[in-house]
Amino acid sequence: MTTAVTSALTTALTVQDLEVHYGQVKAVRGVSFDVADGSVLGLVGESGSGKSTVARAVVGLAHSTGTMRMRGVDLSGSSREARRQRRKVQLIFQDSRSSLDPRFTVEDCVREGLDGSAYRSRREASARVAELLEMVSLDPSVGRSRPGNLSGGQRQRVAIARALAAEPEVLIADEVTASLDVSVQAVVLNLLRRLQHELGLTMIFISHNLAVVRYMCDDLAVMFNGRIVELGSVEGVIDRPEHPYTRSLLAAVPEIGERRLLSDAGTETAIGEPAPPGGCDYHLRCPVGPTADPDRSICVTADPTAGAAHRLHRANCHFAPEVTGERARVR
Amino acid sequence: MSASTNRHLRLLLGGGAPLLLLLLFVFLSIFAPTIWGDAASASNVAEANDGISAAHLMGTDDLGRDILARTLVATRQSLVLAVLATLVGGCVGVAIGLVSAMSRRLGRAAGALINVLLAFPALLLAIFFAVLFGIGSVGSVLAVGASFAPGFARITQTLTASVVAKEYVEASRVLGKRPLYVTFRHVLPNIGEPVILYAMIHIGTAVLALSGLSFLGLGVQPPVFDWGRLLADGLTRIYVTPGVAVAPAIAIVLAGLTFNLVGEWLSDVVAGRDSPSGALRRDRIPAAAAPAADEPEPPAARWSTCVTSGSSTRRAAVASPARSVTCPSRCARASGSGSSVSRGRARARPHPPSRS
Amino acid sequence: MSDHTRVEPVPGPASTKTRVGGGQRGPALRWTLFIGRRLVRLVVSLLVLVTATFVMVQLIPGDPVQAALGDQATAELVALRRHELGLDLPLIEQYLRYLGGVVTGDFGRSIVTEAPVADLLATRFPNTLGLAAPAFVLVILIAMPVGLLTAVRTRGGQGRVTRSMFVNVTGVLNSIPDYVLGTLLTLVFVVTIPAFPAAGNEEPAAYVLPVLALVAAPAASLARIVRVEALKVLDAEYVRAAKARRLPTALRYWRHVLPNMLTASLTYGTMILAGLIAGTVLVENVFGWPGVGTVISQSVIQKDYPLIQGILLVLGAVVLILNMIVDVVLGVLDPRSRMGEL
Ligand SMILES: Nc1ncnc2c1ncn2[C@@H]1O[C@H](COP(=O)(O)OP(=O)(O)O)[C@@H](O)[C@H]1O
Ligand SMILES: [Mg+2]
Repeated sequence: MTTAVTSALTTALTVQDLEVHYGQVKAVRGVSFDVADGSVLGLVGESGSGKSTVARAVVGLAHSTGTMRMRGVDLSGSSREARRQRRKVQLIFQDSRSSLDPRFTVEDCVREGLDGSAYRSRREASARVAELLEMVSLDPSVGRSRPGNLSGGQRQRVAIARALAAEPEVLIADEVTASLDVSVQAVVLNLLRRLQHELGLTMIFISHNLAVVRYMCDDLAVMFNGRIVELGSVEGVIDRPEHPYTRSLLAAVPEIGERRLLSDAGTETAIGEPAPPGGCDYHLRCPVGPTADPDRSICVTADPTAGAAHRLHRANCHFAPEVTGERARVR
Repeated sequence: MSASTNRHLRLLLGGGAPLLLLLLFVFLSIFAPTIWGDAASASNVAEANDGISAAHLMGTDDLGRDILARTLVATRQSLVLAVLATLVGGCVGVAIGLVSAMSRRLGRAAGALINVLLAFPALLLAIFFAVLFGIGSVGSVLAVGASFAPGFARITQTLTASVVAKEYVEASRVLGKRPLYVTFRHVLPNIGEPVILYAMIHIGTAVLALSGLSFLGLGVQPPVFDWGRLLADGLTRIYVTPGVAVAPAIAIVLAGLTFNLVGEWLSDVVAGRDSPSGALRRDRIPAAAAPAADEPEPPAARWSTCVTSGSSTRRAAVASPARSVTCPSRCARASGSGSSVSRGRARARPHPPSRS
Repeated sequence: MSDHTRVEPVPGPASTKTRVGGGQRGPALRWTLFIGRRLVRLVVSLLVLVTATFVMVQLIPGDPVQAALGDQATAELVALRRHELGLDLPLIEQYLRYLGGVVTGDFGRSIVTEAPVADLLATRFPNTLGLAAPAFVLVILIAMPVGLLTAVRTRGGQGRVTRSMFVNVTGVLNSIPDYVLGTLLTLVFVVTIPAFPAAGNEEPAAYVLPVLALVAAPAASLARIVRVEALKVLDAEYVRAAKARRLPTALRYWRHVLPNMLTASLTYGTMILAGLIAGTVLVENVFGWPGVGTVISQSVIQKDYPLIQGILLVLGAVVLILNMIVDVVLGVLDPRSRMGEL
């Protein structure tokens, strides 16, 4: 399978040096990536690592600096063109309950996504809504019900239909299955995969489920503490991780069955400790870092970010191998 | 199931007495002028300035008009003006409050203005506006309405902040919708119910406020009369014919009590409906913690809001619209005088971001 | 795809979050900032007040001087008075003069009596405060013990009768506006049983009825709030005390309940004070009290604008200053909740 990184395909979305600050909290720090046309980029990382914030920044919901271009058109700014282009990037939220207005009918919800000027009559628009509902495997008769009366999976499909109504080129799915029952998760994932293929959508798929990511994505970016610490093809990153954080994510997978402590509430509280000045963000937690290996003092004193571009998978680690010769072209 | 049905039954019955009184007031304001209108305006100099007697249960005024009849007839004047004042205050206040849904910067300016206005007791505001709008029915309705506006604006802003933080509003923005669309399609329908509840509760306050203004001589002017006017007239003659102040006093107290009770009952019904144990129409309002039926919430402490500043509070949610509706009314009632309504100063307090 | 492949290791204690600049400010700086912000807010509010009273007169349709002097007044007389009052000056200059006057305590002269407004305020306002201040103290002195006592008797869901009596009585008291209560009190204790003086403030006994009229409603509602606040602490404490060490009961209330209650009552106290000050305006009119309340309605009817401005300014300023004081006191008592508002 070709990937965004190795292929010379046109890029649909380019993000460069994205920064998002919430007051004193730097939620996203210098994030850059490209998404090739028609490919799926996965975004993984622990809770609070900034995944959602990246998504929100790309669709213009978070105040950000840096550049975001879609097919060369700048997405920031308030020009007509930027506004129109921004509609081509749609976001599906994690919580389908709060992402649908409880006072709207399902039809109202989906209709909201349509370009109002493109439909001459209400009937025409309704027909399109029915079509979209069918596209997400919903019976058009649900159009008259309210989101509150639907199941979580149905609601999420309505949200997808609404996003599709805007005829997006890039679809961002932010943990869309996290609030669903396990049995429903697979259905929604298959739907997304099918739609991505059929419509040739470019996607950013945010998840903390590595198996799902492997199934859905072409490329994979691993986020830690507001940065992308590793980026490469999904096979490359999962099979040959270069950053110790990615390795610990992967290593955590089989263990999780025994200690299921990974509620977001639990992880959230540990975040927000003062950052160690200078050095690698990860060094205090790094299993092979200075706490385990006193020789690796460079992790405490120098930030590995500067050299990341020259390392395999753009790994944000002093000890990841540099890209050399033959492998450089592969990368 | 049966337990929750019982609960609803009790809730509905709990509204019985106040609702009956409310019906009485509505009946009086519709029919009293036709039934007692003649008695209220028929002057009879021979019987002028009488005290309590068999012929005139509550006495007569200086022209010999029956005070009981006048009190009953004044119901319409008092209630209609109160409803109008509430409407005026509601429309102005909601409009000011909604500004924050359209522009964050303007919303912040509006919030600051609301804060300053809320610091003043409503009676002072009402007197201020009475000076501006002039003395009389129209002037007092506008004055009381204007003095209510900051309270309406505050609750609108608080509720708006909770709606604007919802992801469906964000989705709407991502779809390229303009602030005006978001305001009228998403925000207004979602804050409508609690705002209407707040307005209902404030009709009672408006009755007391208008009576207070009339009592000071700043409300309706003769020949128009309302309860406050009748009370003031009764007070001037209290040493001569003590009983004549009784009827309007009872009317004012009863009206205040009725609207308070109806308001409390309505809040309980809304709160009960939103409580997890039983829902009459659960899907309509965002979940609100149900306050126990007779527990007042400390107003200022609870009536917090989250509309202050920027990004960190944008996503914060207001805990319970229903409760924030109940509370201001309770502060209003509690503030010492019907018309010297001082409302809770909403404390803008940044909520910790609760995100996943 | 199912749960067991989730990857979100719990971040260790050393998990980092970058912050810009110093996260913690020194306490001294925080306090300075806190009080500074409050002062700025006060000054801004006062400025709004002064400006509003100025604009009020500008917005009134028609000529205020003509309105005050009546239709019979000759054009010369009106022009003369306008000149005396400085109403023929440019608006900005009028405003600055007005502002300067207010700052130096010169509120102009009454259009009707031509007496300086400041003099009238100086003789009348202390009487208004003399009514509002004891009322406030009494509200606190009644509401705190009553609310606390009821809380103790109704904690843990016991004492249903006490509770329903308390709720009903306070509910009714809450619904009686002070001017109506004043009228009824007059009816009973002045007219029917002549126990108290009818009007004025010459004798100490004259304070009883007006203060009573003012106190009833706010005391009732504060008592409700105190009860709820106290119950929160008591019910938590009740459970704990059953298991663990038994502090003597009185000590327990003192140590745990009082601080919580104080904060709640004080927060609410601002509103009570504001309500009382406005309430006096009405109650003074019931009892013929020589405060500003008996003047204000008259001055509105007579369109005596300088006088109205003066009264609104003083009442408004007092409310704002009291607000600020309570805010700072609350900041001292409960730093976390207040300082966050910086
Ligand atoms: N609106 C906000 N205000 C303040 N901080 C925020 C806000 N949104 C996110 N954050 C912070 O930004 C960081 C990244 O959050 P997020 O992007 O939601 O992470 P993820 O989606 O990876 O779990 C977290 O530390 C979070 O607390
Ligand atoms: Mg997230």
